[in-house]
Amino acid sequence: MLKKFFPISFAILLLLELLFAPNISHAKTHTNISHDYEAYIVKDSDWITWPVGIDLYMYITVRQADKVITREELYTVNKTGCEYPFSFSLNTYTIKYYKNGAYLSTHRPSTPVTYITSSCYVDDYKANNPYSDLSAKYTYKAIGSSVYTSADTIPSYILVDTTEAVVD
Amino acid sequence: MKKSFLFVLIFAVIIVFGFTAYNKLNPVNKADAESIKQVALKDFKEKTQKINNKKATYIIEINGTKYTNKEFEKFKARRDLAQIEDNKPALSEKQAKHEFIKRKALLDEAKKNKLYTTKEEASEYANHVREILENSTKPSDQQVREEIKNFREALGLTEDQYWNDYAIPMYQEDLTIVKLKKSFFNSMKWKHQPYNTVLKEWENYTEKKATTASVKELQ
Repeated sequence: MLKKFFPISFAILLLLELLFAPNISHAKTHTNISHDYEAYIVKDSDWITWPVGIDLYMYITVRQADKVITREELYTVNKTGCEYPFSFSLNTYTIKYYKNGAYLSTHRPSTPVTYITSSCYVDDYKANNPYSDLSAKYTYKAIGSSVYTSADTIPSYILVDTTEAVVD
Repeated sequence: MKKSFLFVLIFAVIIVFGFTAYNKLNPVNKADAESIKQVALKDFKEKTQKINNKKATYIIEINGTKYTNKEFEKFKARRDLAQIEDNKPALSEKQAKHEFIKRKALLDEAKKNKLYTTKEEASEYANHVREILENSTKPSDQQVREEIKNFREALGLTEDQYWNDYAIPMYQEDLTIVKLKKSFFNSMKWKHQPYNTVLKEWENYTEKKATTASVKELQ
């Protein structure tokens, strides 16, 4: 009895796998991670310049089946923040979406996330559970950017260069 | 006729009101900022020439070290240039002296803790920054290059003189203070506190060093 039933149940399972497997894999969460390093020159009131390296990380989590963005995160950090004779801050700012090279929309992750690693780290971590205006048919480019500000330097603010990810 | 006159009048009032409001909200436009910068640099150039022609005399003793009028006045002139360029009032004599004392007291504290930066280290750092600045194509770096050029021209220095004679001693002082700051931030007490919290404590610490320094006016 068992010998007869086994091949039938195996065939049914195989059929089910073939029928539903693509949908199961589409339901997986998909994450794009990108990382960027930028060097900037700033000047304090002693009129000498200081290079400032800033890391910018962007995480976009997309539910792949219907391409809905479920979470956006921007993490900006300078790991040598205490090694300058002036103070500054990093403000995580925007993620711009492009469809076929054309601008589509801007999202602003705004919820602060506490993430203390070291007192020397000047960092800012913001997240969002955003609305999504993407369509499952297309592939999108996401560009995250951040702004650095300081009262003691010239320029007093700099737009940290972008970090890119493809939302596919 | 009356209607069109009224329309023109309302339109004129809106334009005048809008223009006034814009100027109130944006007190310094780009052209104003540029002219403020030019005035600040001209003033700085004149002050520098006057200071250079002065005879050096000791005016203040901080923690046992004597400093001349020229050292203090050059310090104040640089601070004033930054203030005026930012459309802020120049520092008063008292404020500038306090800042000068703070800087020298922090240098003393760093030396006391054997955190001194050598001339060779400062020279290496200055060369590294000069290289980055010269090779960069970023618009923000081009702006800094322009600012440095204006500043060194006001001082009457060539590019090499700026980097070798002016910048190295400045980096030596600043990097010494930075070593003290880094040691403060990495101390057991503050190591795992957020940057902004420790920054406030650092500012309190630097203020305390300035107010508790042994200061003698020599004139």
